[in-house]
Amino acid sequence: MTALELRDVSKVYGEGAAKVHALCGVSLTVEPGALVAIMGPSGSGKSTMLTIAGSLEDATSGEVLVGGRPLSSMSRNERARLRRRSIGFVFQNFNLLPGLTAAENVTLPLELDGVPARTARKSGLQALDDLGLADRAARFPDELSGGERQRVAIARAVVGERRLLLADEPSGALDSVNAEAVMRLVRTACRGDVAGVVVTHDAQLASWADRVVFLRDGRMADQTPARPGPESLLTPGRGQ
Amino acid sequence: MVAVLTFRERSLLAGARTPSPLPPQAINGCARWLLPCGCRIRLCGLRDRASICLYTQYDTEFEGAMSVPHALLALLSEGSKYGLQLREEFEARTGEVWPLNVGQVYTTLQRLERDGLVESDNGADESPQKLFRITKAGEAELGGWLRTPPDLASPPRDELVIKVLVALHMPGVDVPEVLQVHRRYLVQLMQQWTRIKEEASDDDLALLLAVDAELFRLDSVVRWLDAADSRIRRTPATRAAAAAPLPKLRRSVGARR
Repeated sequence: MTALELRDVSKVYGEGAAKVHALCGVSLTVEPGALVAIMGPSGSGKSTMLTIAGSLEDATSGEVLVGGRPLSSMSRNERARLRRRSIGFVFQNFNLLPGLTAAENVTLPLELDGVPARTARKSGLQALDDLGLADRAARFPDELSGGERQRVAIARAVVGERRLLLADEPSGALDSVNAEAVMRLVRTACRGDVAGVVVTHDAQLASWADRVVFLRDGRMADQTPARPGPESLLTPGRGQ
Repeated sequence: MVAVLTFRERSLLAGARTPSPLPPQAINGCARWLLPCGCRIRLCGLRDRASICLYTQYDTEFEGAMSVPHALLALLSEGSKYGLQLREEFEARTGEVWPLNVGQVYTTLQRLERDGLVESDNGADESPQKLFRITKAGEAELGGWLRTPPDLASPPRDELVIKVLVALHMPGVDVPEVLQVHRRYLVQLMQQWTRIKEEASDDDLALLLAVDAELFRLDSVVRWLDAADSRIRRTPATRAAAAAPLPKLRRSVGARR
């Protein structure tokens, strides 16, 4: 079963002369354990693709399947449950709730999903601990550095039984060291049953992915083959 | 710069492209590859396990960028050393890419001593056992060399830039498609370097710095491709076709060879 599948997905905004084709017949398959990067310039449709994959927006045509289930067959409530339970979102601007502590931010989706507070808190603290933030659990977002805030956002995105991690420029506002730390965490999270899609215009971020898809004017222009290993850097016979 | 890969990387690299099983002469000897990016990898023998050293473009340009005197001063900055020891360490650190004979070492040391940059003990003049140490003046000379910027003022002869400029003038060539071919290749290379970084130990600073340098270099080329793509798309086809002749950068500012 694929973690995410987009079949001939198109998205049109506006009507008549103001009509904009944000996505044109995009198809993409992401297997469990894989991390796929979507690269493209501004306006290429990469963020639209992510919001449609995360069921935050509906496609104009085509089909989106998450965990093998078509979103079109789900009710509004079922999709909301899917977003709470199975999909984790990471945004460039962190999107943490300022009035909640790091631990409360992380446990919120679990509690909204009906998980008992004590169990949710235990899972949240574990997620923070896994990301090296155990000592920041009681801090509010404005008491954390940018890198720490994004790690809290990642903890929130992976806590519980998430199967799909969707990240939109997850390290866009961070310096290169913190950006690398964030991508290491995203890379580590995308193992086993968990798959990830990262949208970015930054080749250094994209290079953490197993596969890089290039989007241009709403269409899939190109993609790299399966993630090459370092051994293929070698060219035998040269330089000897 | 010489960076030693993690054991897993060594295994991966050794297993991938060297004959299997690795012949003893390869293990006990030395095999080298030149990477597409201009970096060099050396497989050298350590009896029961292979060790692979990674040389970046900075090593391939080492010879041109660093003189033997400065290399010897750098080695002596770690502490007093004998002439033969300097030769061995020099060769080890340059991956035998730049062999030195003993005469070269002692001639250079004599010049450095004459100029007051190193001093020796009172042993026999040409004895291999003569111990050399760096002087204050030598430290200052080395410090000055470290801080002297390399010549980056004139643009290098960049094959990719030349190809794109040529493509602009060729009828029927889809330039953005040409750019994408190169972008994909570069991103693939970056994926490979990132994989090495991902597997590297946190305390393998030399390797991490070398890989970072490659990633930033490749990233800058991808960014140039993105900027070129955007600029070309914004330029009307008629203007692009009638673009001026190739820029004469070399004539005006002098391209590096």
